[in-house]
Amino acid sequence: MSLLSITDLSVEFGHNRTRVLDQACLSVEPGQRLGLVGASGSGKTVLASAVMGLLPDNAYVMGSVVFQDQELTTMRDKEFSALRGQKMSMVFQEPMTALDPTMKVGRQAGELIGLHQQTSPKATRTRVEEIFDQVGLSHASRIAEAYPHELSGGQRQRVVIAMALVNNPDLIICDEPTTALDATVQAKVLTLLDEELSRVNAACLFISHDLGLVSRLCEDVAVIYAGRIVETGPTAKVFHDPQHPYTAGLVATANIDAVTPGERLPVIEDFFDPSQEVRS
Amino acid sequence: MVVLRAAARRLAVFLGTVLVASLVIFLMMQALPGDVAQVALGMGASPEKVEELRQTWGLNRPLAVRYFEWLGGMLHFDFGSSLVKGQPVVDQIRPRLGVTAWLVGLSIPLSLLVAIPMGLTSAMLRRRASGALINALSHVGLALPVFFLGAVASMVFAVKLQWLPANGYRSFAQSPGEWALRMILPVGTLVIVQSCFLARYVRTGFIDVLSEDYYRTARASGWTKWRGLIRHGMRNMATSLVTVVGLQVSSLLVGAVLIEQVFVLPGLGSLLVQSVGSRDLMVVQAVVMLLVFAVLAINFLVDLLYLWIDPRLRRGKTA
Amino acid sequence: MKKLTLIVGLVCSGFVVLVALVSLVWTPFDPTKVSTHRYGGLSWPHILGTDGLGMDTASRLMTGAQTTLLVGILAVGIAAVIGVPLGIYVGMGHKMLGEVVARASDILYALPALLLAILLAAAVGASVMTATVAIGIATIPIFQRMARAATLTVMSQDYILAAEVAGTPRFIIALRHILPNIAPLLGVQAAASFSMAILAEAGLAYLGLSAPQAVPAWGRMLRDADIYTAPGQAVIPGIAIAVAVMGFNLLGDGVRDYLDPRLREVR
Repeated sequence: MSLLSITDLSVEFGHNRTRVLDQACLSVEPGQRLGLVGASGSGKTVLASAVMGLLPDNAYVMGSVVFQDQELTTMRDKEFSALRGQKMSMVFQEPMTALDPTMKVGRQAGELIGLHQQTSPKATRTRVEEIFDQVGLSHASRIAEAYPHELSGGQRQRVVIAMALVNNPDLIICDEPTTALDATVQAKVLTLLDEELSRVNAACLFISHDLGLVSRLCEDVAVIYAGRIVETGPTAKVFHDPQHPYTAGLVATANIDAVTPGERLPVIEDFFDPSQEVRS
Repeated sequence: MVVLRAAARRLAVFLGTVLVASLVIFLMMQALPGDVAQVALGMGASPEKVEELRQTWGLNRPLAVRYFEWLGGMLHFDFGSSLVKGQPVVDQIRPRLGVTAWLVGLSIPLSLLVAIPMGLTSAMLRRRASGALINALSHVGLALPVFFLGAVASMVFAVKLQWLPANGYRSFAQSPGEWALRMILPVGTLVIVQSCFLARYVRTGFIDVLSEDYYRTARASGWTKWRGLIRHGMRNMATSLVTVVGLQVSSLLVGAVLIEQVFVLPGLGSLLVQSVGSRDLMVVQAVVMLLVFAVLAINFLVDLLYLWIDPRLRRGKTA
Repeated sequence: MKKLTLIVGLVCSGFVVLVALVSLVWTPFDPTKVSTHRYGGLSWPHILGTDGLGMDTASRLMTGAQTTLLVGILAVGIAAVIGVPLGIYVGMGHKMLGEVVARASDILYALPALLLAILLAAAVGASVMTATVAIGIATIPIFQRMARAATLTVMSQDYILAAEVAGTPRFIIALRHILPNIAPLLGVQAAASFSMAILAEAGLAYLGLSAPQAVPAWGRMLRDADIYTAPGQAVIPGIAIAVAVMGFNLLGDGVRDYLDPRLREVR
């Protein structure tokens, strides 16, 4: 039985029902790491938000999302909220704005514990410092007393990751967790994520436009294009022997090392004609 | 430490502004047409008599001396004497201070108590009919002149239904029951208009929060829509609301005069309007100074409140 | 929903303007003619009755629309004509003056318009003009702040830099590049301030600090009405004020929502 199984999930927005996700099918097994790659605007974040139940009010959701044998698309906000942060959690792209600027980060992380279980303030604090320590925030007790604006981007993202891990969830959705960070910090945060995912043995849906990151972190990958999942399979296989022309284009354009200097850089359109795809 | 330094800086600005304001008010009063002594003695008084009074009151001394005398007097609550009634200005102000203080002190917290749930609901349900209805109601309430609403309330509840007294005032010390009965209509009227005004700012503030990343984080942490918005939105929404509430208190200190007029309450604003009518410049000068001081003090408090609400302002440069 | 705001705003404010225009050429009676027919009820030919001096309420209501619009136009005009150039000038980077203007504007912003109006009335006597001027002065900081903030945003755009590099005089930059860019914002603010001015003048008139009894003005009509004996005489101008205030408020909101593509998208 899959941990998460998405069947024919479509999402439309607004009065004119713009379709941004079109009959997507995906499944994530317990402990599995699945990468989701695609260009910006392809519907990656919408898919993640739909799974987490965090779409705005003007979104219409069709299809089914089953998580641990529970249908999420029709679930009431109250029950869904009990799952979020506890069984499933999320790491966001933008660490600069993901934290409440008016609340100390230790308290924000502590809230997550208090929301899902009965604990004493002291036990909460100990747990927060423990998890801060775990994600490589040195002087955890001091960091816990800091406001978000007093931390660097890398530190904030570590706090966000700590918050996602604190309740030992079964599924963590990472939405471009390193895109907003400097290259050096990016590598460190990625290593941290890799270690922590293994340690807690959580499944992960890793959203990225960076094929390199996905192949380093995930054993399986799904490729999304214009709201549709066009290809799914083991990462190595998909990237070495892409079946869909869009994937082939994606792989070729990402692989800059293969280009001889002076030669024209490949573009997606060399492999794939979007206008034809839309009609099919 | 940093907080203290920031607070001290604001205190210095506040005191400096009060000083400048007092000078401006003093000079303005000097520039007003009409001789103070002439007003006190009436238009029929002979020039000799007027000159004599000017001497006794020391009106012929240099401006600077009189300014500092006035300023010094105020430091121990001596605002001079009324030109018309002769009694000390402070005795005229004191009983009226209570009325205005009650009107403002009761209506602002009560308005917030109404406006915050109202704004929260209409922000959360803004795509539904119920939210739109609340928003429309606040638009109507905002457009109603407070004196008109007061007059209608008085007509309905005091004249037609005879549930409440139409006007007059009893101090709280005299009779708490009578006081309460006479406060219901004026305070209620103010609350309706003010809460409609504030609700629109609350609504905008919460709508802004709804699209913030940290609200999404809160939701992903397991907060339900409403609780998450209250928990993580309130403080952030407050940063924009505090200024508005401060301005609201300031404008109500004088604006309460409209409701005082409707319900015949002896407040500070009414005293000001009466004194302007009778050209009692000493009273006008004192009341204006008092009001300006209050307005600046509120501004100062709002600044301090910001330091507490928004931790980002606490260090280094101030916004 | 957003369209509804604009439509209701247009209808209400348009109605007030229409009534004012009609009253320029025709009113059922002379709005200032005193008669012995006092406190007449709603009946022909005085369809909205008569007031305590026997003046025709319908005619006074119509002519009062002129006063209301005049107050709004003048008050907003004063505030915009002084506030906007000051805001642009400071926003284009005059440091010393900027600090002084900011302080003065802070104080004026905090001072209640009513206080200003009472003082001005004390100095030069109460009239519609003093009330309007006081309201206008009290509104200057709103326009100054808004113009300054908007100018700062525009100033950081590349085309301003390009114009500066090309040696365009600052005055021309302000006129050709900044003003057109911030105009929509100021227009929306003007509508909001317009309705605030109407409300403020009505309050002043109610206190006897604006129009004298002879002048047909809505706030003054409310003051002179005896709500206990002839409630209609108070309710009619009260509703008129509310319609005008709401009309211009909604008009401003509607136009803002229409102009702001970000808001339009969320709809």
